Amino acid sequence: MTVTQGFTRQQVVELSARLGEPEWMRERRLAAFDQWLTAPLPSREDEAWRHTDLAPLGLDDLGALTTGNGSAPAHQLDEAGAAGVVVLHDGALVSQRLEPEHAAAGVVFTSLQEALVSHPELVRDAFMTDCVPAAEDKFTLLHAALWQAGVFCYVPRGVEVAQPLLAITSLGHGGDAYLPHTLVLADEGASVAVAEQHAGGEESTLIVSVTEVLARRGARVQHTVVQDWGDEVAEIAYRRAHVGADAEVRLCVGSLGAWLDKCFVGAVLDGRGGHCDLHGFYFPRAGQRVDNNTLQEHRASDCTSNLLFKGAVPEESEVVFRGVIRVHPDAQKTDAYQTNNNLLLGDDARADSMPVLEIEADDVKCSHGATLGSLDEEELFYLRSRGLPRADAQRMVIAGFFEPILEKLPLTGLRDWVAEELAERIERQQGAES
Amino acid sequence: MTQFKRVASLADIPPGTMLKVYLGHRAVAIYNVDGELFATTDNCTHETASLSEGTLNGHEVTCPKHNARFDVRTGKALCFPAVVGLKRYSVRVEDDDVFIGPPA
Ligand code: FES
Repeated sequence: MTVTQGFTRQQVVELSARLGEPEWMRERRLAAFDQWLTAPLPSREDEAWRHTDLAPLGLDDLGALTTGNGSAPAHQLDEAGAAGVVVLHDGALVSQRLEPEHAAAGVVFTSLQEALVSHPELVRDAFMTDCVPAAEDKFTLLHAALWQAGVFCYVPRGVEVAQPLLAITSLGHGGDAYLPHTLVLADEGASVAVAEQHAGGEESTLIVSVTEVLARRGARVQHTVVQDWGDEVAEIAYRRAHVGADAEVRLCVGSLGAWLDKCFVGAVLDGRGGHCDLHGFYFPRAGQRVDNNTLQEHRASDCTSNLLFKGAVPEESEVVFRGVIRVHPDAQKTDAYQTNNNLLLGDDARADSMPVLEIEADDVKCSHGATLGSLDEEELFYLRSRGLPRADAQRMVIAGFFEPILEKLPLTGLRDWVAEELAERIERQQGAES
Repeated sequence: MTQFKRVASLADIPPGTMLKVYLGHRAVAIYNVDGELFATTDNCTHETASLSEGTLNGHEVTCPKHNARFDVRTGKALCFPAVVGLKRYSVRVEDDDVFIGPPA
């Protein structure tokens, strides 16, 4: 299959001009565009794409970027406790705020398009270079050529932002292609937590998103993104952390919406003594697909990484987890762990879990585990031991299953929203059964 | 016919052949067995493979990947390595139009 030659060089030039970008960004976009034209689509021979049927994405008909129709963001989170907020709707920066003390300390929290104008030097070295390279595949090239909006966060050396920053990215009617980018840059010894909500999109939309988290030496970064896109949306997401020496990163990805959520989540541990936690949770609606490809890449010695992905899989849904732990020859004393837990909620639910260990060092500790449970066994246990009605027991089992991840989410507003969404799905599940 | 969707014309699926169509975002395989049509999910239940790219022999479809066989009339898995059956869909033909409906 050849992909859509529906996009044109002219669109790249116009987009870049509209955003008022520095020339180097336009040049990079054009270079990516030229490579994109000839890059092959991922094939089903490729392990990471083996389970993905690209045909229903309608790539051949794609040739335009999502534009807004003037709607306002529908669903906003309670911002209480956030030290800063950025709201993007249909790609436009709708509002932003940042506590004055952080701004005075040199923290930048704004849209990526703004940052390109106000702080081009910060974006230049980090954007799609080491973390998620533009040329990684056909979709990252498309993103590099035509990304149209994003979130940017920079925390200078030694500065600590104690309370989380909140970014909301929403779509109104959606349609066509939407390519949002997030760039979080924590300089040496800096500390920050960024939480993102992605939601909306009514029409058939292809979202190709990239999140890059760069934690320099000794930095501590937490990045969380939870998506609840509309049912006609398909997302291909690349979310990766680049972890420097003695840095500590916690990434969490939550998947609630979209008929297809294909997510490449990973951490590259590139300096001695780095640590990364990778968490993921999912509870798709009936008939949706969640396809997580995770990567724990240990390039330096004495690093640790822990991964926990878990989710509930309703009737007719399919969940794929492919988790790679890769240890380079120099990465001695690596300690890497990976777990994937699935809870099947119907006979027709499907979950595949594949660990992949690629280990080239000898003094390492690497392990993986996967569990596949169905509601009934655990439910019985509760029913027997507490005499609870079936529906209550079910609710408790599912809520309890998600609790370890939920309790780690930053901001009460985000936690409440996710808890509500999970409760709604549990109810629907019970409706489907009775 | 509210739940049925036109997905192909009969001429696209001569007897003894199969066709992959999409119902929303799901791939469905339609089989023509001596003039009678059947439909199941297109994805093999063993790993991942498109059954309509395999071979159809009478009412048995063979997966192109590891040769699991399924009965297209019932969806049943007939041999290793598949153990789980295929979901079936209802099919209707009106004149030259083929419609797929809810799971059967
Ligand atoms: S994928 Fe069909 S038999 Fe293995």
